Amino acid sequence: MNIRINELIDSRDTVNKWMERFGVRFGVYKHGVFNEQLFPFDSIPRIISHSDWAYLEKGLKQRVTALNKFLWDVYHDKRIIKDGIVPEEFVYSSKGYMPECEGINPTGGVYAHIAGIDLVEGKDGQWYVLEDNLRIPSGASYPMIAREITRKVSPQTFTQNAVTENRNYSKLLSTMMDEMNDGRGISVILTPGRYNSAYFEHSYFAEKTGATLAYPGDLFVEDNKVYYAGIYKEKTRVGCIYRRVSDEYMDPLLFEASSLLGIPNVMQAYKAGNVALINAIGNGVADDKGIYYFVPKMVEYYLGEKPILQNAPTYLPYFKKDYDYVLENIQRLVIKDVSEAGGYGVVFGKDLSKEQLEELRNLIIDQPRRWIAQEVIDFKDLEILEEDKLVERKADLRAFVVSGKETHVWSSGLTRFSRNPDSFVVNSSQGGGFKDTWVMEE
Amino acid sequence: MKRYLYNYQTIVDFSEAVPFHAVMLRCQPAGNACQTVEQEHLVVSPDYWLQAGCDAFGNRILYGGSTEPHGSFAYVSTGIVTTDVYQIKYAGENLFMYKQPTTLTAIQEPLLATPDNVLGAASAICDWLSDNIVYQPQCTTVETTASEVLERKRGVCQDFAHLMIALCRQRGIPARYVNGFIVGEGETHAWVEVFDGYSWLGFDPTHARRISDGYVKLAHGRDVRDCSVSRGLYTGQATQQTTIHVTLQEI
Repeated sequence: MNIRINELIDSRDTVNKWMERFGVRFGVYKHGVFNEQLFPFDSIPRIISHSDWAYLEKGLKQRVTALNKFLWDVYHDKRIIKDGIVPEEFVYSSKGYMPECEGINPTGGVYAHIAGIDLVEGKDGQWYVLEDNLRIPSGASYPMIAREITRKVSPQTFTQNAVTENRNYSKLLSTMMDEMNDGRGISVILTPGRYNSAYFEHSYFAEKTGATLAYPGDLFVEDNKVYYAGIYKEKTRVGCIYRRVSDEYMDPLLFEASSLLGIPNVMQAYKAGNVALINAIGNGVADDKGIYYFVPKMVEYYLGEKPILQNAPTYLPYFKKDYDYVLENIQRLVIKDVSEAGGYGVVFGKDLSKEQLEELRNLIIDQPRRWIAQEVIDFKDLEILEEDKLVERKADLRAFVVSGKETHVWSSGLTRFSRNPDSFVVNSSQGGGFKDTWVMEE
Repeated sequence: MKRYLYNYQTIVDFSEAVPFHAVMLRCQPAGNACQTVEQEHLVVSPDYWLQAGCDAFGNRILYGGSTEPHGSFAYVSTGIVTTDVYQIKYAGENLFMYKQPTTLTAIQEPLLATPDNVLGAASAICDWLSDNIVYQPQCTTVETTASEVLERKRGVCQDFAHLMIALCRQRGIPARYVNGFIVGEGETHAWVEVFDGYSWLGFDPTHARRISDGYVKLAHGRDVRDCSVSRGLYTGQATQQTTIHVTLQEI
């Protein structure tokens, strides 16, 4: 591998300036105030070797295939519960479980059309899955546009390095949407609007895939079918909605009544098989932090295969053995609140005072089902540019897996890093930046 | 066996014409082992597109809407129902969800000691409610939670039902919220079904009694949010005024 670091370092400021001009932003709500931030791009890519990627690709396909089968099972036969692999309380008390989805047959039986699987690489070179995101995983647009701009700023970089092409993501999306649409009408991307944190991504995907960008109020249901009435006054039939609106806001007549983002009666049209929703409703039951523990078991159960990808070593206080272990070792574990998302409900035992540890211990004793605990993984640090110095920081990788008739892994991904040298949390809603992810041909 | 003539009527008046109105209705009696719908009619004005369906809890729904500007929406659901002793045989429902507290049905304190058997516990809870909670119209809203009712010690049928459900679930008894009609004239009523291991039994905490007859069921759910008789959404600046009238008469 012959990577010219200096050229890339020189390109950093230019690429960031271009991104600013293109409005590549990330919205953050803090204390109720909406602020748009630039998502700082670090020009040194994460590099993944051909053989590592081959392993990841195989493992990701396997994992997402099993998760899709699990979702079908939960909303139909419930074999995995009846066979005692997953306890029923983990399924039915999960916030993501939607009884309204019982018996619904999504087009092609696919639930997680777009999966964002968060991975980290340990110091020993072993990859671990930290989290599955099967509802509305965001972030693919950032490495897409960063690569696009870097290509313009420093074209020789990609002639000198055998980096796997990643411009096919929009094609993966549009092919999947066409397959799910099945000729029923147009495909749209439903955005909550410009105050959504990922609005840039919604508009960018619409531009790249040729789907219509629809805003709340543009879509309505008539005779059990969905129509678009945006800029044209006539009705246009909609066959597929890539919705960037959460489950509970999708249908105000069934879920959150105050929702102004949703489409009244869309769930009935969906149930009748008249529209595809991407991703399916009710996926939260499979990416719940409590269910995560069971994903390797799903691979064995549904596919009869050994799981290729590993979870971070995880304990469920729900099980007596794990309960004892967690209470004993709480000071060196990561404790996650199953009922929260966004990285705010994650606590490191080592950061807590004696009193705080005791408090947490009592919370776990009180509601064991609400918590999971994980060993702290010693991540492999990645080099980033801090001003003009190279420093090492924690980073993760969100890989994107697209499932239509077939399942494809995008040969790229979003590498996020934390700015704070002491922080393990790389969630973009807590600051930090991103890198391009290079999958090498050789 | 008893026969009843029911008539449910709703008129929604908008202060100005609305360009779009979508609805989801649960205004038709349920059919089950102890309730048979002999005849039913539905009158809707203006002409909405409407489809019949079934929700996640097995309730009958009617959903639809209109995209033509209009100033009001009126419908009448009427018919004849026969009922047997209120005891609905278990039909394979997921009991887990009727054992979990919801936002509207969560309370901390167990409040009273109850017998171990379901029937005894449900009766004791009913009695406790009538001794401790005052029925007072218009003192709560559709969003009032069981713990708020407990604090204020007053409420309407929905609040009695939520509090009873909370107390049952606390004891591990599956309990669900029911919407329907009671004999007489007025609005819709709410009561509770508890599961005794074989069947769902009806209890009316507002009147502190186990239900035998005189009740016609529309729908059930984990709490009121799952089974509102009527839910709607319209666009525009208009305000709406809704008038509901129910009669249930033995024939």
